[in-house]
Amino acid sequence: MASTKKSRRMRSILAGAAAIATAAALAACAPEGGSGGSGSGEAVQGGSVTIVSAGPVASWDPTAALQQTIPGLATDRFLAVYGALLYVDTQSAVVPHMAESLETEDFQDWTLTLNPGITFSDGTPYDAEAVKYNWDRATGEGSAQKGLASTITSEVVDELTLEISLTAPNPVFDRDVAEQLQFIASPAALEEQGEDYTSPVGAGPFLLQSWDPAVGETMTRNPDYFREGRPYLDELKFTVIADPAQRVTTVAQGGADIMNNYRFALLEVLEQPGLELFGVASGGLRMAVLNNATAPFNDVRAREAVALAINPDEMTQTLTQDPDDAGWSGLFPESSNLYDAQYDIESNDPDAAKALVEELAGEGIDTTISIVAAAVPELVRAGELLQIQLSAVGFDVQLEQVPLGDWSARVRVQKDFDITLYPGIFDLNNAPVSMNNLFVGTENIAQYQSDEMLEAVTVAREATSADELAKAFGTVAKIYQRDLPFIVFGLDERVYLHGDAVAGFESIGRGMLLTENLYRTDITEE
Amino acid sequence: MTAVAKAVGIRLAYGIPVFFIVTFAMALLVEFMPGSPGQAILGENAAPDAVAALNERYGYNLPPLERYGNWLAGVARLDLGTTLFTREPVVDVLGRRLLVTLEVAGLALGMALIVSVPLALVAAFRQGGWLDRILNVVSSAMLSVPSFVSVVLVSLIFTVSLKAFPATGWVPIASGGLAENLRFAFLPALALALYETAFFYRIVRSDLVATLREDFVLVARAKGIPKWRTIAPRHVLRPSLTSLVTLLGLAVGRLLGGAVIVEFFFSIPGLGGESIAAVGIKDMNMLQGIIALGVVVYVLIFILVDLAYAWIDPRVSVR
Repeated sequence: MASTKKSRRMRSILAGAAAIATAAALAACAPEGGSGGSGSGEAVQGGSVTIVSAGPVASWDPTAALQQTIPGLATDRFLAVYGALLYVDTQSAVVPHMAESLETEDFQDWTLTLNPGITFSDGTPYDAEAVKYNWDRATGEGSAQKGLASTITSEVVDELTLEISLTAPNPVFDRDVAEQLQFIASPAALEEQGEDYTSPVGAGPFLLQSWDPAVGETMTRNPDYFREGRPYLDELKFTVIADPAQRVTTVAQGGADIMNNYRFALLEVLEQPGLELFGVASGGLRMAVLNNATAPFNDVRAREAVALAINPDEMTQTLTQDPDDAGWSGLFPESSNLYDAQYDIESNDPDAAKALVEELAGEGIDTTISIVAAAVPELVRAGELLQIQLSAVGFDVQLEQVPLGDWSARVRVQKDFDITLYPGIFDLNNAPVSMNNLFVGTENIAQYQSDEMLEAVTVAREATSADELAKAFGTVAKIYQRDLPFIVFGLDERVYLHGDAVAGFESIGRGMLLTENLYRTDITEE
Repeated sequence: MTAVAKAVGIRLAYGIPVFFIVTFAMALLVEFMPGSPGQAILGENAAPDAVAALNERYGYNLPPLERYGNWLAGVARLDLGTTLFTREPVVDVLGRRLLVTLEVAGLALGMALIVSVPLALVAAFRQGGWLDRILNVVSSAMLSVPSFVSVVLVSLIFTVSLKAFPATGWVPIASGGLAENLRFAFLPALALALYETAFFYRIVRSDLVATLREDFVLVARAKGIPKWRTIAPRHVLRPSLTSLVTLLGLAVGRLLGGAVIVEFFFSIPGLGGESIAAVGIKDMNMLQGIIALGVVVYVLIFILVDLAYAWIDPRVSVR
């Protein structure tokens, strides 16, 4: 049974992460995906589905928050109300949605072509003018997309065509649009409501009927949605349940239909009848991040000692509480064509780690370190094990827990840590963008600096074929193996726990659901 | 002016400085937010213009006294401002939330009274008996369980094991009917009622035992007046309720506070849940409104408690 569980878990991870393997052409206009995902039977019009969320929507303004495609955030609801110009699918391919295409010859000048006949729910056209209005508005003060929007100069050619000129060539501009500028609101509504923009007007599959931040949102089917026959559901609800255990109980009991979490958090309910799991294909890394800017981890030997001290299997099993879980030491999953086993980092060699620590101590380098862990149970467990493993090889280790809400300020802003456990998983979706962020961009918490790595991720961003991408990331992995700015110890994936009466699951980005494809299997069409 | 009206007026007058002190203290708390309230709300990376605009919109750039004065002027018009993101009038949101919290708290109080008072009566009349001893132990155990534990226990038993009640959520009477509303309200009310039941039981039993020793009770029993039909409710219970009445007032306050945990756990859209949400997004208008409402509720409750004394025990007069 144990091996069956383990192999089932690994198959699930690897099958899901096969997305990375294809790595389609970055600027291609792939045909829009169909409604895949789990579920069986013909899709039927009608019914209502309730999705559980951990928190409310604070604002419907598309510029209000950074648009992360992680499930459970406000962007789930944005996608339902606004639809998306483009999205990145779980195979890391850019897929046009409300747009027909976004093309370029030189990565600096791009042409956006919209699908014809789309209108906002207030009757105004979803056209090139609307996109330009929204993108120009995103350059305003307080906009979360100001950085990207400020690089754009756009000109309306005709109703459906927008010519875009960037301040500098950006090979992943389409991916950036898919993750940051994909939600287009009605300019008329934005102007009319001004600062009191509390009644969003989009062209997405659903119309917002009611919004109570303490309770959730209720949406109804948009009869004028541009995809004929979609959405299938008559009603879509998002309900806010703050307590994680209660979210699971509510879905298990049938009080709601869908929730998302990490697989390990749902182990206890997996065997219950009437419940199914839908895995988000992209998956992500579990890792310990080292502060490369301060001693002792500004010395690669200290980082190597940490890697050798860590037992990835134990770390992962302690974190997930799943005794059959397996650790991981590569930068990509095994099934990915970006993965090369020769670049796995060495781990679980305490003797070698001890020798390195003694060498450092002998040179007078202080090996007293602090682990900063967000105060969530799984990270505290992992932090305590890490403390034990590092102490065993000679580090003098303190473990400090900080509230989850304070972790970002402490680690990202104050940079006051030696080692920290990355909360959650680092998503591998959209690898050319995500890996760039991890090593040289906004997610470079480790403060890692390497011109060689900068060049390598830049080459990866500019790759235009799967082979080029694989070769580029081979270089990235090789440099990572040598420099070890952070230590990968596991893989994980987000999953959707849902009742078996809901089907049509298709996730995009880092896991958001395409709710227009959801349907109920327990109703019959009249 | 009747004595009652005068007494009410005096107590209301006492409540006014309490209202000012508490709400002004709440307003001053804003001054202690790092940077400015706008900065705290929008985050460290917010653009300075956006921070300044928010501070101006909500008056956080004004001196605290002036800001408080403006707020008081709004209170006089029953205008407590608007919520931070949804821009709804705070008064409207408070009204909706208060109804939910009052229903849950009311149900909890009702459950506690229905169970505790009869049991206390029986235990007091059979003082020292096996029932008295058992209830003593059980009530001690229930008093030891704080609300954040009772919610989990109640949920474990009734939701996970028995699957008898929904885990979370709320259905208003207007949309789902009374039966459906009570189905969602039962568990939260039960979680709150556990502690109150034990507390009321102990206090009422203690008062009943003392009353049973009074001469007039002995006389009533000697005259052969029916014990359970007459002596218990009229001669013994009524004079023993003064402590309970006081505790009821305190219990309402405790229930409102405990309701925060219960509402969070059961995802109920009451005042407690709204408080947590408001703290999370630093909605100062909403928090100020909740605090103000709390002060008003407490003052009114204790006025009612004092009036209830006089009604229960004619020996007590309201002055």
